[in-house]
Amino acid sequence: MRDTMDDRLRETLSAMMDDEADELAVHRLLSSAQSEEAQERWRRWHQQREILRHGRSDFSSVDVRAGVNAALDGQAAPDDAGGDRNVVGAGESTRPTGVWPWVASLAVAVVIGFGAGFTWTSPSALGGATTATAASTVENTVPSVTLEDLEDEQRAQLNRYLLEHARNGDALGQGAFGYARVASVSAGR
Amino acid sequence: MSDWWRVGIGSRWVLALGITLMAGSAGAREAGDWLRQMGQALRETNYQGVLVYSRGDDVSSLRIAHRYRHGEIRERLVLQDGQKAEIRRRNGRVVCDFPVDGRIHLDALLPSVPFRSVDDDHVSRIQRWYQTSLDGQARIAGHESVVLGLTPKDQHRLGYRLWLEKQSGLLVKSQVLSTSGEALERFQFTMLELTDDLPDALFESDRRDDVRRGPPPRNDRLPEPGLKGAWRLGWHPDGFRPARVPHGAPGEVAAFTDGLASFSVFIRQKPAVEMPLGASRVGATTIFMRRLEHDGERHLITVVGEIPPETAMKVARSVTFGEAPDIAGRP
Repeated sequence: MRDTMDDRLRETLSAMMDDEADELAVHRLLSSAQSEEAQERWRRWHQQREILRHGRSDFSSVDVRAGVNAALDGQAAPDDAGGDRNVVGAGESTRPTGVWPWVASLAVAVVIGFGAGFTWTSPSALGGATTATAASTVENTVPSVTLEDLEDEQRAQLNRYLLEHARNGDALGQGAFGYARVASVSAGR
Repeated sequence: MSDWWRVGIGSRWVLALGITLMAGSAGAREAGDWLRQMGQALRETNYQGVLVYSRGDDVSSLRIAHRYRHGEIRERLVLQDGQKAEIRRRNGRVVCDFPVDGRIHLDALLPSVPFRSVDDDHVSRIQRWYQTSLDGQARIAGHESVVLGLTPKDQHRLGYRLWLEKQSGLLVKSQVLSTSGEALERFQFTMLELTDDLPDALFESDRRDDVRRGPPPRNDRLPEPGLKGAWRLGWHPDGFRPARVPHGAPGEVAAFTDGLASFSVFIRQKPAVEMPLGASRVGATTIFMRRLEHDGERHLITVVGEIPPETAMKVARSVTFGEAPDIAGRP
């Protein structure tokens, strides 16, 4: 009996993956006692399919930056209502008494983030969302430069300016923190 | 009823106002005390832990150990992701190991930031340009902390929030905030142990062999050719003073600080790399570039600093040639 249910579940899920499942079968699946198992299996298959098709998994769409930053800020990450990006830790961080959820969300975000290719000043340190930041923050009166469009030698030149400035800085001594800014540029050159 | 209540309403208002001002003044002093304590804690607190640094899209973590013993400071930071790299310092001597560039000595390049004390003059300077406030308490990496707010008094600066461990005053978290309150750059301990039990081995590099495999250290100086004419800065926000420039030819680079924020101005003649003009941001750091013709030569003016883009643009556009060196020509 169990084998039969598993077979049906597998068939229905397989059909859904191929967009060939009929409405009645999907309805039956969702209302069955195995819906949790089905969801888990669906999620796993879907992830595998994404890897096979696009060389990436669902996790690559996780907004790690927003999750980590939200956790560091102790507030919810911005909701990306316009897309299907998942925000790690956003839900947890909004709970008022959630110390462990907060820690867990930060840990998950960091682990996934680093695992997904976040490195110590990756070559994209000057691109990506920093461009968005520039675009959203810089007023219209200030012409903005899109960092992700820079050539390699232009980016290298910017890095040198950043490093030189970090060394010139005579700001408030922040101990170890002061080094992170310098090191982030140094290691990324 | 006592005679006190017989005074006029106006007098009572004056008295209430006085009490309010005194309370505000006491609050400011307390914030200043925390700033002073933070300066001392940065030197003399013994600890080890892990901190996360976030700027723009970049998230990084470092393992750190810091020890103050018999007047000697030892510190080691090891990057936990990406390339193997670490920074070690012993009193004023700083060594960075990066696999690409090999070993780099930064002792001449970072002269004052790590060991600088926050004295009364420094605190009063900060409080002149930033409104300081105590914004409650929070628990950071398992430690009770006070939250210190530094709100700029004009639109030319960024704001700061500092979390200081309650007992030691150690900075355990910080944010640099945009003019709209958005966190642009973050540091935070995610694990912190305050302990005196920090053996020497924690401060020794465990990858001595690796650092010599890379090519020789590069000259990190910007290859700026000599400038023909003097240049001057026509404007900068009030409160910024010229700062030491340990690296870079005089007249081609200048740095300014208000005690908290800083910015640098670079002048490059006939730039070899054609750079786009305008402003960009990397976390809290703005980079603004503009072109300026002088004596038939093109110059690239670049302003880099933890200041709003509008401020960087205004600074860059105030650069002129042909006058006797002013604040920027002789930093």
